[in-house]
Amino acid sequence: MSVLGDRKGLIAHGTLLLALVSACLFSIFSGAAHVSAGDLWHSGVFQLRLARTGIALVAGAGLSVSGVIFQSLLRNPLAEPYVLGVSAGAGLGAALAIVLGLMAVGTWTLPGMAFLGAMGSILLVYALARTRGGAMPGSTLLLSGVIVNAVLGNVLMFLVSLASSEKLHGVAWWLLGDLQMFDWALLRIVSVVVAAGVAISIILARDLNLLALGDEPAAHLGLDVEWAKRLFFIVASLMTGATVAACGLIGFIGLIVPHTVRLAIGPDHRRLVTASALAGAAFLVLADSVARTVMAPSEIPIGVVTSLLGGPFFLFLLRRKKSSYGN
Amino acid sequence: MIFGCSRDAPPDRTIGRKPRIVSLAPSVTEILFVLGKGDSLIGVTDHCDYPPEANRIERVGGFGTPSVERLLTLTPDVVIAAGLERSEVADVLRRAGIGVLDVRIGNFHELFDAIRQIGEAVDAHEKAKDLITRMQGELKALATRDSATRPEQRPHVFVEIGSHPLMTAGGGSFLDDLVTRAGGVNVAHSVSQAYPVISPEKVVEWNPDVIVVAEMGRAGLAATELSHRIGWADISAVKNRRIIDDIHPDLLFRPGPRLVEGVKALSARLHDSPPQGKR
Repeated sequence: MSVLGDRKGLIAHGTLLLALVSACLFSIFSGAAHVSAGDLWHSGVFQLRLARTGIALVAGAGLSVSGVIFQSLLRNPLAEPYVLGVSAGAGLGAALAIVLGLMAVGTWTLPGMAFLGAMGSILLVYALARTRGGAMPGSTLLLSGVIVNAVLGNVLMFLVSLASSEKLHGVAWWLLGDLQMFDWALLRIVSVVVAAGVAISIILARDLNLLALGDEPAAHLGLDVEWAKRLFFIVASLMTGATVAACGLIGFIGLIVPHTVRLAIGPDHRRLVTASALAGAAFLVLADSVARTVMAPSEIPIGVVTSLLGGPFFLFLLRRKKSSYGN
Repeated sequence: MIFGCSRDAPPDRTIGRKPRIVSLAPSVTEILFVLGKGDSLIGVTDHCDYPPEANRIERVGGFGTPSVERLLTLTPDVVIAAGLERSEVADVLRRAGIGVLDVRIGNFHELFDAIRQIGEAVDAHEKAKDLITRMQGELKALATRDSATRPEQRPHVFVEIGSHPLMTAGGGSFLDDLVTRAGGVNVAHSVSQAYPVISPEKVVEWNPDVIVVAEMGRAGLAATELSHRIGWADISAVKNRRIIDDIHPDLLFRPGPRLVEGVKALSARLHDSPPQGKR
């Protein structure tokens, strides 16, 4: 954590923390309902905004840190939380719950089925990527993930093609992200999983640095490479799975936040993990405030906002720092 | 929209025998049965489940996306749809000499118009006229009963048609019209989209007296579920347990003859629920 202590790191983290606090305040004070600041604290509106800000914060941090981990683990700048099939597996579970009408049975069936789907796809990818000797080469992992993603994604599309139009709408919304939060228990579970994942990544940030160098250099520098890869694969997948189960697929954020932060403060994971968690949380809280206010009281899918806001911003950064980009 | 009615079909085919009719919408199937043409139906969609006799008729595919091949082999005289998703289906059928009637039903006015058109297409004008008169009469009776109630005394109603995410029926939707005719005020009336995804906090602000949950399979479960939602405990309808989840969604959504039953069922329930919440 010593790197945090230097001037640049401190300024970056201070700025991001300030941004996160401002985003949360903005989120709490904006929304479809018009409530005066004095009445807000006693109303259900406040509780709803609190829960919603909470899930946006947690999901933003979780997806961004997952992105950081997958980019280091797979040594691929295009890696993001959904690249290894978690999204398609969770999507399949969610679509099954929606198409079969299971969500009418209880509020837990949708996140439950999505999480089961996510876990199923993770196990499948893990089993496929492991070689006989127990090793898990990054390229094999990536290939297995991409193939599982494609196959499950097509099964999902088959399900969608069978769905009636009103169910189709539900699936479509889920695939673009949905941060409506009705249940404190669900929020607590997702928060615990993400907090644990982020904490492990902060503590073992040095190992992420080594993994990013490649298997051989990392092993020469004393890292148990296979152990570290398995651990980070599981940590990132669990964070992604929990997030996706609670709020569907929120695209873009897990790809763009790590890269943006890397452009700003460099590739050292001892700063990158914490800074990405803060930046991702702030970004998603802000994006959600936009999603539920621009057409209030109607909402627009959060995934649309993250890509519309994030894309141009990232391209702008990339153009400005073109000469210095690339680790 | 009429792409060509049974009148365009070669007249010799229908003389001396029952017309062969295919329905491409559950609402159309229900209308045809009420018009006494159930026994002329030779094909329906996968979703046509009422009246029960409809389940015994051959299926020709999904709503709006029928199998054209199946339609052609059935050799119907007329195909009646309510909103074909692919207009080229109508062209193919017409070229094969099959009459096609595609009705649009977005409000009660269009529903009556559709019944009249269908009646003409299947040679049942009189029965169609009777049905329209009966439905209009029942709606008028409800309206007369409610005209004594001043608008501010009518219960405010939130219609929940989906929970992941929260979806309701805005102004201009059939359900909005239905709630009004049942003597209620749709809280989402000012929302211009027909079926918007709505912020849950807006429902807290609207503070409806009654919440109607119109989603398959949630009957009997919705009241408990809604009372456990974050921030919803203080909504008048939730506090006073005025949550209606046992009206069959088809009575509220399917734009056919039973819609009047839906209005009556809702009206009966709303009259048990005078406004309570402050606004």
